Amino acid sequence: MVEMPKEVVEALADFHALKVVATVSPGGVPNAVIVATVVPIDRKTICFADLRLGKTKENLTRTNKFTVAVIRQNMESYQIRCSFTGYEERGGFVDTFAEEIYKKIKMQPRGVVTCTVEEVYSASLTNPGARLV
Amino acid sequence: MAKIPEEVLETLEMEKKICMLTTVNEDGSLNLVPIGSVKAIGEETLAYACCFEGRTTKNLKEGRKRVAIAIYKPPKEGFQVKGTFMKMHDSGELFDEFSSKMNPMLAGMGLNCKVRSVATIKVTEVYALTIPIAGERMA
Repeated sequence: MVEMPKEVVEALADFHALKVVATVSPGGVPNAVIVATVVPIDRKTICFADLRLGKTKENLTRTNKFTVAVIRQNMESYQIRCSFTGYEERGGFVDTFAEEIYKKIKMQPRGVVTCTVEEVYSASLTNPGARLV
Repeated sequence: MAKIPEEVLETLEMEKKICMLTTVNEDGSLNLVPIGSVKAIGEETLAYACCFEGRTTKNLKEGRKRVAIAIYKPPKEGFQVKGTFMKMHDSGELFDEFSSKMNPMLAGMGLNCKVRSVATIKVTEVYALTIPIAGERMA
């Protein structure tokens, strides 16, 4: 587990940034979906809502690995490699997060995925592939 | 093989679209990066310019050929294209076409790089990523 740099936390918290979650099946087939609800919980953990996760959820529970990429409107971009830590359907944090999601997009999440951050890379054109932590 | 739907082809022509390409690393983790140059060449094939010798190119060259591309169409739509890497073009018509268009653009952005090769991807599956039909197969 590592701590994300401040600029990466800010990018993940940016409501206008595009966020994509990639997972992989046990057979090595990647899957990449847009997940607008990705947010940092703190500098070491990330969560996102299950609004209609299909293959992503299946892959997460089977292979445990996934990567989040975020790109802001100014093209600043990061790649965050994560380890799946849990899927919760209800509870204190989940209920609060679900309420926030519902206020924004009027959809009720089926659950919330949480993960720890393992590696962070720049994906910006000016510094592509550079490992940040 | 799958035929790329018309709405995906139209999105790829848009200036404001964003494409994120994922490949599988040696250790089974995922590499996921924005790729600005994705375009369709024919009904079942995508191509993009490789401007850096990064992990994406390494993964493809080492034989981990399965890719997935998330395509964002502003303001609220998206698609996922899955495919298989076919070939890295280091010369020829396709390479020249991408180079002549992109190299001046990269220089104009002040970036010290140019098109090194062009990768082609055979499309195998296409899915919607737009809520509420996310996950539905389109092709």
